[in-house]
Amino acid sequence: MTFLAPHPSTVALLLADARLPGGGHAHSASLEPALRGGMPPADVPAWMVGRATTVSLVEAGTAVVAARLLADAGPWAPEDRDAPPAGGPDGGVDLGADLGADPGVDAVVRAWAARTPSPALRDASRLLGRGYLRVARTLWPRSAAVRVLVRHDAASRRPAGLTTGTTSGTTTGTTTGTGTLPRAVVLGAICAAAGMPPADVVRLTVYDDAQTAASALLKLEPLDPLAPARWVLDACAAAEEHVLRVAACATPEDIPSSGAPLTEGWAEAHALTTQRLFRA
Amino acid sequence: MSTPPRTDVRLTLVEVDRGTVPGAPVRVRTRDDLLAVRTVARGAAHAEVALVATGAVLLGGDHVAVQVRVADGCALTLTDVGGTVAYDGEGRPCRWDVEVRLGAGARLDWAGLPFVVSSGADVTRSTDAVLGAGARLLLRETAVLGRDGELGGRVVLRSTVRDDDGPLLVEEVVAAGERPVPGVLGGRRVIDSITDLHGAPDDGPPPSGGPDHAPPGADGAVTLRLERGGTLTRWLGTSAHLSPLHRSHLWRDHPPAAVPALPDPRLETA
Repeated sequence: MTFLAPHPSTVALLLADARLPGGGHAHSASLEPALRGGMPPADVPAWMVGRATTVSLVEAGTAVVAARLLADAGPWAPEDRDAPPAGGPDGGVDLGADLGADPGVDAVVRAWAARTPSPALRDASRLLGRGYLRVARTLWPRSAAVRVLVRHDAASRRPAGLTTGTTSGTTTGTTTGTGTLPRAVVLGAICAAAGMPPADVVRLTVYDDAQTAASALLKLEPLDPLAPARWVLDACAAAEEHVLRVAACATPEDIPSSGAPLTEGWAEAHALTTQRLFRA
Repeated sequence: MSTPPRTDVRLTLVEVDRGTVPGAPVRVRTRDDLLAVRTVARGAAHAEVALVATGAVLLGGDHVAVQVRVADGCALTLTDVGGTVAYDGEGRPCRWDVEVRLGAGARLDWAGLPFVVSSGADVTRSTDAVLGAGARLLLRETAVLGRDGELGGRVVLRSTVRDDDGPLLVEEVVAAGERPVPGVLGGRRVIDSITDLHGAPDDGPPPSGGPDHAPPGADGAVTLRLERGGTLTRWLGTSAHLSPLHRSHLWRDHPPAAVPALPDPRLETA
């Protein structure tokens, strides 16, 4: 049987499209926290460039490394199209019940977490990761890469003491391992499933972050809706000089660690407010 | 240029080891270079050591390396005798690399003084720490963009702290006084931080970090609770002397001199 797969570019378009119900609409890519924290709206264009060349690259590098790792999990198996969806019997990956958290995935999550010092931003990213995992397991149920994550996620949610993985860090009292997967790692699995080139993974991540902020800005500050579209392009253009470097990331240690201290502080304050439009 | 460029690595070393016989003071091994090491006090498990600049640092082309090693179960308190100024390097970058290795149960308290990045300076300042099981690192780092009246040069602040289980904190902050970036430091000239990290114990869960979100203090300092335990407390502002971290409870609760539980607390001057 000939199996038709969408072109990786089409998948990138789908993932970047706000109409995809992945949960991104509840997020402002740190913009609401920034404006509530006192950043003048006039600074938004420069702030977007700043994100595209700092924290977005941490996310992008995480996705690239996750995609490289999970591409090794094995290919999509066309002959397996009619097999039960992820969580069922093996579709190219060993889904033995005792195999829990994947140490490779754990290492990527740890690298990301060590580069994301703000708990508010880690929480927001994990919330998005949950929505993305739903997208991934529904649209790519038989991808080996996605299956590794689904299994890892299930293992990470098991009560402490029941997981057999090589984990020891905890985020809450009820999970073991590295907890709910952050968005960037799930994005990496989807990109692996789709066969997306690493440079496109970076561009997609940067674009999505910038467009999320631009879209949120229209709800927070009245302005010409085309103005932030210009800023999205400017932010992506500023990131372009970093794209190849980030696309070359191969190990968790390679992931950029470029931080934004003010953004982190604003995120913490915002997480404690009750009057807000966006989750983060 | 009147002075020849300095490009070699200038290594300063502090090593703290157990005494050779039980109850003897710890041994402190040092190597001086652009920084001189002065032992202030030694006890059975604790040493206090001061770092003193021996000349003008940092100039363009300088590469200062500081290696700090504390053996299992020992504690070291490091103090800076003066702050550091990175001068206009006239296009030549300079580096300040700190390498910390803490053994099992070891401890380092280092209340660093401000690191000032003059206009024209291009500095990379890195801290690379490896924590043994149950080790603790308490580090104050203050970077200031510009001397009085200056916007300040360019600085890359890089921190990598890990233990046997993997990374605890990996961060790079890039700032340039003439090109402030909103969301990074904005127009703030001072980034003041206290890093308080623990190496995971050999077994058992890591120390609990308390509530996940600590409210920002009224003084503007923010405490970030890291994923694997430990905290990064940070204040961004306009002038180092205004920083609330001078009064941080981290130092107040654990005044460096009183920190190590010494079985035999007799201190002697070296």
